[in-house]
Amino acid sequence: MNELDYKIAGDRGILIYFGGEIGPETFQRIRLFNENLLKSNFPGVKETFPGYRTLFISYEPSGTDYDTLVYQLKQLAQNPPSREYQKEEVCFEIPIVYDGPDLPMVAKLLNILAEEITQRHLGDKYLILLTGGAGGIAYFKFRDKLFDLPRKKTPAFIATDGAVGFAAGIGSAGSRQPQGMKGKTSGWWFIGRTPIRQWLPDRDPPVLIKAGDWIRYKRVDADDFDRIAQEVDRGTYELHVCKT
Amino acid sequence: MIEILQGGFFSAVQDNGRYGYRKYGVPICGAMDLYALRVANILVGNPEGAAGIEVTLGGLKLRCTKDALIAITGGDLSPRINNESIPMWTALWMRKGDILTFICLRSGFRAYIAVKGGIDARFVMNSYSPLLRSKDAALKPGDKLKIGEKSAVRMVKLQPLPDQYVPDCKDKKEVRVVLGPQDDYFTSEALEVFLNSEYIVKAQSDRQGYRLEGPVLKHTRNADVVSEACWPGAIQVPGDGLPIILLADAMTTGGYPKIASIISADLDKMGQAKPADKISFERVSLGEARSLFLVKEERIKEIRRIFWGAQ
Repeated sequence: MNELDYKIAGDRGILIYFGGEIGPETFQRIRLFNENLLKSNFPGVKETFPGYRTLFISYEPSGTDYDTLVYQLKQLAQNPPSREYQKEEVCFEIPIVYDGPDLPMVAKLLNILAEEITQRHLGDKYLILLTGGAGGIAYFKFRDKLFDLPRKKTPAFIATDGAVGFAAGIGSAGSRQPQGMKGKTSGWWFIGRTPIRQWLPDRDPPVLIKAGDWIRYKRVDADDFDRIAQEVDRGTYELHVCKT
Repeated sequence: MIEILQGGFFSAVQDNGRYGYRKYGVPICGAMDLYALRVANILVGNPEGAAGIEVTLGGLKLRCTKDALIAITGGDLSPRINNESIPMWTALWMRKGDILTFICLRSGFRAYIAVKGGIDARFVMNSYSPLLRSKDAALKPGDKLKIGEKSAVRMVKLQPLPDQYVPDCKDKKEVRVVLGPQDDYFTSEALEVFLNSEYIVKAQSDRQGYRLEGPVLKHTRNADVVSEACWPGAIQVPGDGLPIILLADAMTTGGYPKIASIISADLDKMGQAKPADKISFERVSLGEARSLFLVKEERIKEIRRIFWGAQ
């Protein structure tokens, strides 16, 4: 087991660093710690926020101080009330059309066929590790090293709505953009597009796919995309749960 | 009702922020100068977290459709009612049909309007502050804002805020910081430079963050960290070595090393910083930061006692 590292994160925050690879195992250690922390009701704790390999804790300086809280956290790490992270695992099917603007370039850079990239993208299921960035983007880590390709040297403008991409081993479920937003500038490689909407500001929680959910991509064609997009906008589309 | 006649440079409804949703990627938002909004609310008898209007730079023009008790605090943007200058940091009545304008910037960058009863805007995820990407964030001509009636309002003394509670807004800002969590990503020379230089606020600065111009800070290794939590006040340094101060609308995660964070007691000062202002950083300990925070909170309690009487 890796030692936890506690760091000052401003005058009202603590970042706990969990060693180890980014992925399901570290995810579960952080989540378990977070659940135990929330059950402990330490005074002054305001909000917690699990990351890829960190847990961010914000506190009220009027309710506690750094040293007190770190002491309590270390005690908690030694004697956790619960030692097992239990969550029902759900896997959702994310419809995708593989006609992203960067697919030919990625194929060229990796010197493989575009079809192999899509097959390998379809070939695994992914654990959502966190929702963050600007508005609930659902991030995961690839096991397949193919997707370790570093970011573009210069971020580029992408007009594709619902673009699904990756960079440096990280992917995101993808989402069409909020109405009124057109395109984005990003260093990621976009290989496909999905008709779903991940950001649901009128709902609580405001995201469709949450950290802890699994996803698997399902190939659809451009007509399916349009049909599903309409259903999503009418509010009649339900994500399919994966069969396996 | 408040009718917006002109939105100005950027004006928006803000309260004291949105907590509990960062784990979904939702920024805290809220007033950039929380002290100013909280005091404005106290002056009109509102709970401190009631929604008010944040006016950036100026240009806002609005009309009241009924009598309303208001207070204006924060930066001096030359507030006028029916073209007559009005005092700031005091509660005063706006009569039905009166027009409030903010003509030009005299000091600071953001003014706050509190209205007795609070602004009853769209309440999303436990806050009246608009979501970063919502289309209706900026007030525009034709917008109508309801004045709340439900919030517990108190009787207040209509008197100006004593001078010692009015912050001074200088163009040169000295802000205090605690180092970390990635100060070890920088050379010791870079830390010296950071703490002993003057930086200038660039034009590309907004509620998400302030970009600074000044001496470059050298990293000891690469400028990438695994994406992790960000918070208002965090000072991140990307590969080009120029610091960016994250503020109220900051993204919840980011992958640049954070050399330090502005302490809570000094964040309001940043809310009053405008492009071309000078910023310098002074290092304090976590203990000092906490004391300064508690002193500031105590001052707000004193203001409450003055205006609301014994509680």
